Amino acid sequence: MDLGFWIGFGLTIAVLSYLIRDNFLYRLAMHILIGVGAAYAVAVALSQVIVPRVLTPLPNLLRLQSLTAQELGQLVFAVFGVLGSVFLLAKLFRRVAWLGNAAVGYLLGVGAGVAIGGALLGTLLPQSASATASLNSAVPGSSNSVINLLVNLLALAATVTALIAFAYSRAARRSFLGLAGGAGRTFLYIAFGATFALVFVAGASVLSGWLRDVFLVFFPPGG
Amino acid sequence: MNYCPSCGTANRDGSRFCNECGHKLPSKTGIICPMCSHMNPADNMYCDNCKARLVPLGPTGQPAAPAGASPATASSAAPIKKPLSLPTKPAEEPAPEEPDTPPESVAQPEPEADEPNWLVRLRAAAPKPSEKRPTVEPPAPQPSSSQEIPDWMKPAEGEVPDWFQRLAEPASAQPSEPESVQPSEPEPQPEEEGLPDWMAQLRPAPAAPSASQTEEEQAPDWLTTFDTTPPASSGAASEEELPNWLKGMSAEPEAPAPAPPPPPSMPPPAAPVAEEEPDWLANLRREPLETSEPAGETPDWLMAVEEPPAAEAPAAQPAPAEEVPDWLMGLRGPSQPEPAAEPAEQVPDWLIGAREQPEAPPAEHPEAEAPDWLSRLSGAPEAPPEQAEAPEWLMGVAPAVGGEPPAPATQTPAEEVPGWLRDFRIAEPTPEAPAPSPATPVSAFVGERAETEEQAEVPDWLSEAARPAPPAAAPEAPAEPVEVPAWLRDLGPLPAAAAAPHPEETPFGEAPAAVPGEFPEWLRGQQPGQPTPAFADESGRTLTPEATTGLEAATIPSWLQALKPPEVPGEAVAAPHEAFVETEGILAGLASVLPAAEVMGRAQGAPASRNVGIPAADLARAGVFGELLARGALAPTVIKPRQVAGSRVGDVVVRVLIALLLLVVAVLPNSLGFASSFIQLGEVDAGLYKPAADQVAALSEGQHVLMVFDYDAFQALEMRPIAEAFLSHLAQRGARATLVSLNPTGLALADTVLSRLPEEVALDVVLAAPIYYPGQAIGAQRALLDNPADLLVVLSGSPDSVRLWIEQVSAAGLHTPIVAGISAGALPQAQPYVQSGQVRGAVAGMVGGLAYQRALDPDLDAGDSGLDRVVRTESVYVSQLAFALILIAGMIVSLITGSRQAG
Repeated sequence: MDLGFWIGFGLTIAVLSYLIRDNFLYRLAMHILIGVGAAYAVAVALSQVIVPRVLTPLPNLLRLQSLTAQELGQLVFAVFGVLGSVFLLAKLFRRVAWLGNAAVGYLLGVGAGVAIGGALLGTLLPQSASATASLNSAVPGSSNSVINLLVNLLALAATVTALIAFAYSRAARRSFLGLAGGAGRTFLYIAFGATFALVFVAGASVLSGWLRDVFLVFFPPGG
Repeated sequence: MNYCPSCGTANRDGSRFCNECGHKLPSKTGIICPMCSHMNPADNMYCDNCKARLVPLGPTGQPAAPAGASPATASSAAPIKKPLSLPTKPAEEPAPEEPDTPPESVAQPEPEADEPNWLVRLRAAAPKPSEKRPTVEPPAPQPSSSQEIPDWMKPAEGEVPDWFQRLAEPASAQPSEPESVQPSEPEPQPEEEGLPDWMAQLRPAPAAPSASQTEEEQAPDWLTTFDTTPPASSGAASEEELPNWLKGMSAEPEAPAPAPPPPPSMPPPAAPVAEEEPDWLANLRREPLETSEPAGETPDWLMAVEEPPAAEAPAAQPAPAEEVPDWLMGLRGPSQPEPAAEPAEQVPDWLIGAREQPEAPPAEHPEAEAPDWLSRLSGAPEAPPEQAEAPEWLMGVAPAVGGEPPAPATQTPAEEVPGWLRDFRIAEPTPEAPAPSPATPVSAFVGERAETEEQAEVPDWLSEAARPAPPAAAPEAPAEPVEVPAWLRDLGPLPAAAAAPHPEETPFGEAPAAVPGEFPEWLRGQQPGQPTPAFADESGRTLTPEATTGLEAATIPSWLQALKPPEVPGEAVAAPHEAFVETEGILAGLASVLPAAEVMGRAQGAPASRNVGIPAADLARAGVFGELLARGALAPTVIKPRQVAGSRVGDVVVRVLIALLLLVVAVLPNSLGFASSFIQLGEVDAGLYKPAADQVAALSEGQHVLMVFDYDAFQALEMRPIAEAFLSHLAQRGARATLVSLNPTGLALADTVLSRLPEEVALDVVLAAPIYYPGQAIGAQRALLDNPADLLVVLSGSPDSVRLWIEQVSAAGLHTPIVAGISAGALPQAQPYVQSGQVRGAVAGMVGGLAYQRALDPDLDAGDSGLDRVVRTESVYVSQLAFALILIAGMIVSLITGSRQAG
């Protein structure tokens, strides 16, 4: 029984006190959770990013002639990173806010490019091919079971109708698109419900495992 | 918007027809702003241009609702159409006032662009304020345009028609006195195109070049058309142009017709002005008419008057009885007998009467040969007027030519004399006539106004006309022959018997007994000075002026009384509205305009009427409402939600009980250890871990594995067995793993997992401390490029992280196999990647992790640690099952209670 266990136990009780009503202990537990998480993130960012990738290479500016290629590369990245960070911080001041436009644009552009490329190559195309192949029993790897075929067809229908529900949300209810959108919304309701149920069950699992540890602490096996 | 008056549909501006019903649309429907004259839609409350209020406030201060609108249908009904409002002059626009300029500039402002045409014409026709109107104004309706006023009616600039002026002169006056003519300018000739052709042909031939030319220039056309020359043989051609009632008149021989007596309504002629007086008129007074007449200029009816009877009969065309007026009948000369073929009604009596008087020498009494009215006009002694035939009002105004003042008995009753005529009482030009009497017809138009201060403005011609003609004035022979129309020539001197006219004779001839309606019987037999006898109306009733209520004295309206000039001479009394000249507004410069200030002032000063016609029932309800307010029954009260003391405790109890239930369900299996009798952990489906285990088993010693820890702290308990199983299996295969994370908390979780492994296992597998890569997708790509691996193990509690790593591997062009350790909740969304082959294998949830560990070490369940693992696993299963059951029960209870509340 270490200190961490008892802190955790106390925080658990504080959170469970919300069953009665919102109280100070519950709020305290929430603030501690958020604060600790933010602090840990800052600590990790400093130790894992800023220090090794910015603060460490910058002194090499003083000895540019003796730098190796790797060190020079690290230094270049460090300088650009520092400049970008400074420009991004300029957004806090109205007069020089325009300086952060380039940094923001670079971040958004690179992130969008990476995300779009990955989505296209990693999800859209492979998943589309896989969905088509799963319906063709002649394709190797696809299931020959009728049930699987029906399940695949159901999955295809659910996918298409869900897309129609989002794209044609203003369609008339009695039109074809309206009916298809209604079916898609039904599938979405089921999916969202299943997701919530899984989250709830996962929480139950966590609670069960934690209570096991608490029980073992208070009631160790063998006495 | 333009709203259809038929269906109320709103149409675009400029539409001519309604798009809904096709009805023709007015030019514009809307409300014209009274401030800026901007056209606004009908439903606007404020002007779009100047923001002025368009809809007036009602008596309660609220906008007045349009007629027929109801609050319920205000939003759904068709747009409310409001009437157009007349444009008014903006308040800020000052009136053009210049002190240095004469008042005319103020009275005559520039016509605005939006002024109606009638107003512009009125303004142009309005006399300047400095001008003084003539005293005498005929009570005729004011013409709308100055162009429409005949010149002979306009005594403009003090000019008097010469013919009229000459009529006022005595008969002995020389006809040729051009100097006495006041205006040197010829009077503007009236438009001849308005005259019928037959009248246009009646143009007297000029007796003297200079005189006649001047006469024609100054005399009106309708008088100049009375040509003195006898008609030629072109009567046939003229007959075509004559009206039918004139065609019946037989041609008269070109005999010198005596000058007809002047009409009784005309004043005694003043000093004749020969060059300005029509010849025929001059000859009427002085000498016989000439016989010469240019051919083709005299219509047949005049020819019939002049030619001998023998020629008259064949040439005459019998005219319908109703087309020959009596006054014309009487104009026939004495030399022409009545044609036997003509019906009696075709020959005017006055003309017949004139024919019967050929004996009178025209030289002595030229006026006596003419009808009485004409004889009176010339001032010559004439026979007593046909007072028995003429209406009394006329007789009262125009007594005998001799200038005798009418007897008091001849004064017509007030109700029979028109007011406008009554006012024009005869002036008293001479002391011999002490009482102002209407000695002459012309003087009747003078009236007492001549005695007022406007007397100085009375034209000379009119004042002279008021002068009674001297009885002793004898007509003198004119110095030069004057052309007289043939029909006047035929009149000749009145016979002696004409002095005492037949009682039935009228100034216009015999009483047309056969023509009913022209003169009522009561008027025919009326004698001057006699009271109005009883008469019979159309239904045969005998009526008397005193007996009939309709003939009783009528009440003179106040506006008419206001027109009556004051009796006190020299006092100028003008109607208020006549003296008022508008100086501002769109009516600026116009006279006879009702003073707007008085009216507006009265309206402003008047208190607003509170009588809005509220029904009695509404008033009663309002009274009840007022009583309730007075009592305070309707005082506003704060409605507080009903608080039940027990409801709050009950809610807490329910929540606590549910929580305890969940806790018991979670703890009880762990405590009692009976879960193993329900669940056999060995029977876990191998599909939950085996594909992934096979991928790890395919690794050889020394290969590199990139292991990702992307799950949160609350998922740590579930993901820890999975992580431990992977690390243990990697250790068994001799592979090396690099631990990375895209979240800062992943590093701590990785350390937690490593701390639970045997130390030798951790040191053999893990190469270095976990590394944090920020930027999500960018960090993942960076981690893949920095750490090339033979296998990618993604430990994620959400499907998004799994998808992100899968996508970046594809985007980077790597072909690294991917295995995933995901939570039970994320498995459904990650299943497509597993089925598509992008993820070679996946370990799902705690059960899969425990099964993966048992598969690696079958002896792991033995001992206390084994039991712990079993109980823990079974407790999870039981807890999950219990939680699901509790959730379902709560949903059912909620549906039941909700349906009860809705019902």
